Amino acid sequence: MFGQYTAYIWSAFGIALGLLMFALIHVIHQFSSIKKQLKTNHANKT
Amino acid sequence: MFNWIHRLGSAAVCYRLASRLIPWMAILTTGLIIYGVIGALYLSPPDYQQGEGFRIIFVHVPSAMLSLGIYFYISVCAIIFLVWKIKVADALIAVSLPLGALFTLITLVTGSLWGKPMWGTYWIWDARLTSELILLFIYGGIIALRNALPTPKTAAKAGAFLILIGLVDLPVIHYSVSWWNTLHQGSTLLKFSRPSIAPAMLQPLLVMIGAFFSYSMLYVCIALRGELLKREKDTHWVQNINSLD
Repeated sequence: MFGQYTAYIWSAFGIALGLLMFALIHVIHQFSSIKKQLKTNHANKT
Repeated sequence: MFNWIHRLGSAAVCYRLASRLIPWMAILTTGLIIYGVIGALYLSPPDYQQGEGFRIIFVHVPSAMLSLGIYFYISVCAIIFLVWKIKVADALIAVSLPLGALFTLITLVTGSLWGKPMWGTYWIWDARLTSELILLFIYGGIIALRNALPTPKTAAKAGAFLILIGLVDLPVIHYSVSWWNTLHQGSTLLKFSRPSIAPAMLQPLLVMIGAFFSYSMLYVCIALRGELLKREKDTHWVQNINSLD
């Protein structure tokens, strides 16, 4: 598609966007875990 | 105005503000990334010298700008934390450090992938590349220091001082292409005269910069909420977790 640069372009876009999506999913997962744990602690106390 | 800024020092207010911003940032980021990637890969014409290979600029430049921008903003947070002891500023530093390091890593990797077809090598000890690599080490060093110290208060203080020391690398990165004879090209966007890039290429580049910027806001809002819940777990507003959105 981009001639001799195809592999470089797709690699750059793939790595950049892939890492950003991975980081976002990781941080969402982390937030859900913290919230879940707090809710469990709260339920145990009451 | 000052009252509003003062209110932002409250963890509960910040949590609520971040919660409100998240859906808007998610919509904006998704829209800008889709439009930016289509513009970068399909709508933008090939460069007259580099041909199709120049398209890496659309991920390389935004991540480079964010790697420096995030460092500058955590430096402001470090000053706020050291002067006014605002804990939210330290929470912002804690969540932004990995993001800044990630953007620096993406800058180096995409730069290498651009360097190979253009310069014939993935890496060269050029002033711009080396100073950007030093920035990655600074990010890593601050994260390591914050995790190594036993008490959170000491870690926050030491981390803030190290951030301010590392600030010296920012002008070195930006002006390295002017101060030294480098293989890396000079500034295209951030210079006093008009940007030396064709409008057809500039538009998707600005969209991608906007996309990466709104992504950063989204990431920081989500991570900040988690960090605040963790830090304030014994306070009344977090105890009331079931009423939180």
